[in-house]
Amino acid sequence: MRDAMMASKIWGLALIIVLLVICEAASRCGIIAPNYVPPVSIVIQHAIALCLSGVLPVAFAHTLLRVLQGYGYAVIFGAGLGIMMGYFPLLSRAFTPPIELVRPLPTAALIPIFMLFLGLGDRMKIFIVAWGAFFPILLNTVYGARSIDPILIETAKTFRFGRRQTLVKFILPAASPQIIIGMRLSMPIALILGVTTELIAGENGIGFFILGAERTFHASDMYAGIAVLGLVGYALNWAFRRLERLVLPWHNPQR
Amino acid sequence: MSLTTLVSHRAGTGTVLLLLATWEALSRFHIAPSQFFPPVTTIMAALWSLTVSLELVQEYVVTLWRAGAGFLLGAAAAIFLGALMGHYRSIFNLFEPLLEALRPIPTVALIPAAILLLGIESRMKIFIVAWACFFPVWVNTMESIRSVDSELLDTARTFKFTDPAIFVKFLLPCAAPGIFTGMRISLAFALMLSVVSEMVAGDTGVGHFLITAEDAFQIPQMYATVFSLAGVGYVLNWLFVTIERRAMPWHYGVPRSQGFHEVL
Repeated sequence: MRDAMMASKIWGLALIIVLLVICEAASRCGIIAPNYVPPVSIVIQHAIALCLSGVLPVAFAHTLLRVLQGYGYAVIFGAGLGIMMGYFPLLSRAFTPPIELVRPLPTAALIPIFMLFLGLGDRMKIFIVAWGAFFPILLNTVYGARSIDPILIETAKTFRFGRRQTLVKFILPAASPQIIIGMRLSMPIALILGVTTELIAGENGIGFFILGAERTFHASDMYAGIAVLGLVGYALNWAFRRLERLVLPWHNPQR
Repeated sequence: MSLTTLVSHRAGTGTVLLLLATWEALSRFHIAPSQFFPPVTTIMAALWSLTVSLELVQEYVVTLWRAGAGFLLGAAAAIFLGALMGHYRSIFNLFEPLLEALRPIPTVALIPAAILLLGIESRMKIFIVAWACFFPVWVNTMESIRSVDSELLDTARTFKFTDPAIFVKFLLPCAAPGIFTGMRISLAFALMLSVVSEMVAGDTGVGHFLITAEDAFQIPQMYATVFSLAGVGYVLNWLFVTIERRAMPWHYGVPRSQGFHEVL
C-alpha cells in the first residue's frame, strides 16, 4: 500500500525536479535573466543562510505572533458568540442583521480604515486578522449549535440540567466539530491577512521582508522568503489536522 | 440569503437602523471623533458625488477588468487541468505534488515576485487574480469529476463515445454544480486580490483610490469606497448565481449542500 503510494508520487516529484533543473539551467545560461529568476541552487543557499542568520526566523516570529493573537481572538469571540447565538434565538435575531451588514465588507479594504484608528503597528494588524478569521468561525459555530438534535436538549431539560450546564455539557461538545471546521477555514485566511497587512503597512514580518527584498532587487532573498512561507503554511495546516485528531477523536473528517 | 434575513427579521432591521442612527448622532454631536467617524449621511453624500462624477466608476472599470480577466483565465485553466486530473489517474499523479506544493503559499506573498517579473501594471494584477482563482476551481472540479457515477461512464463507453465526447457530454455537465461552487468562491477572491494588488503597487484602480483617500485624509471618500466594494461584491455574487441558475437548469431546485460558499 505504502509502496503503491510512493510509486504514484514518483512521477509528480520527478516533474518538480525537472522543472527546478530547467529553471536552474536556464538561469545559469542566461536564457532567463538571473537577476529576475536566480538559479534554484542560489535561492536554496540564500534560504538556508537567512534561516541560520536568524533573519527569517525573526520575520516569521513577528508575523506568526500577530497572526496567532488575532486568530485567538477570533476563536474566542467567534465560538463564544456563535454558541450564544445558536442557543438563544433572540440574540441571534438581534445580531444577525448587523453581522450580515458588515460581513460582506472585504477585509483587506478595511485595512486603511483601521490604520486610521489603530495606526500602522501591531494592534491594527492583529485586529485585521481577528476580523477576517472571526466570520467563518462564527457562522460555522452558529450552524453547529443549531443543528443539535432537539431531543438532546429536551433530555437535558428532563434531567434538570441548568442553562449553563446544558451549554457546557451538551451544546459545546455537539457543536465542536463544526467549530473546528470554522477554525480550519480561518487559519489560512488569518495567515493571508497577516501577510497582507505587512505588504500595505509594514515595519517587520515576512510580508515586509518579501516586499523589501523585491524593492531592493534581492530576488534570491525574495524567492527564499516566499518558499519558506509556503513551507510554514503547509506546516500550519498539517499541525491543525493533527490537533483536530487529538481534540476530536470521535469526529472523522472526510480525509 | 443575507438580504432576505435582513428584511425578514424586523427586530434585526431595527438594530441596524439603531446602529446607524447612533453612529450618525455620535458623529454629529462630536462625541466620537468626527474626522475619523464621519456621519453616515456624509459618507452617503460622498458616495453619491463620487459615483455621479464617474471618478469612482472609472476606477471600477479598471479593477473589474483585471478581476474579470484574471478570474476567467484562472478558472479556465483550473477547469481544464482539474477535469483531466480528475479523470486520468496518470495526469493526476504527474501534477498533484507540484500543485499541492504551490497551494499553501498565500497568494498575496506572490505579489512582490509578480511585480519583479511582470511590472506593476495590469498584467501583474491579472496574473495574481488568476493564480488565486485557480485553486478553489481546480480542487472542486477534480473532486466533482471524480465523483461522477462510474456506471454512467461505463454506459458511455459501451455506446462507443470517444474520450472528448465523454468529457463534453457526461463528465462536465455532471460536475458542473461542483465547478460552479469553486467559481463562486473564486469570484470573491478575484475582486479582493485585484484590490489588494492595487493597494500594494500601481496608480490606478479602486485599491489605489482607497489607499490614496486614506493618505490624503479624505475620510468620507474612504468609507464610501469600502462600502461600495461591499455593494459591488454583493452584486457580482448575485449576477453569478443568476448565471449559474440559467446555465444549469437541470440543477435548479436541488438544495445546495452547506459548503464553502455559505462560509466565505
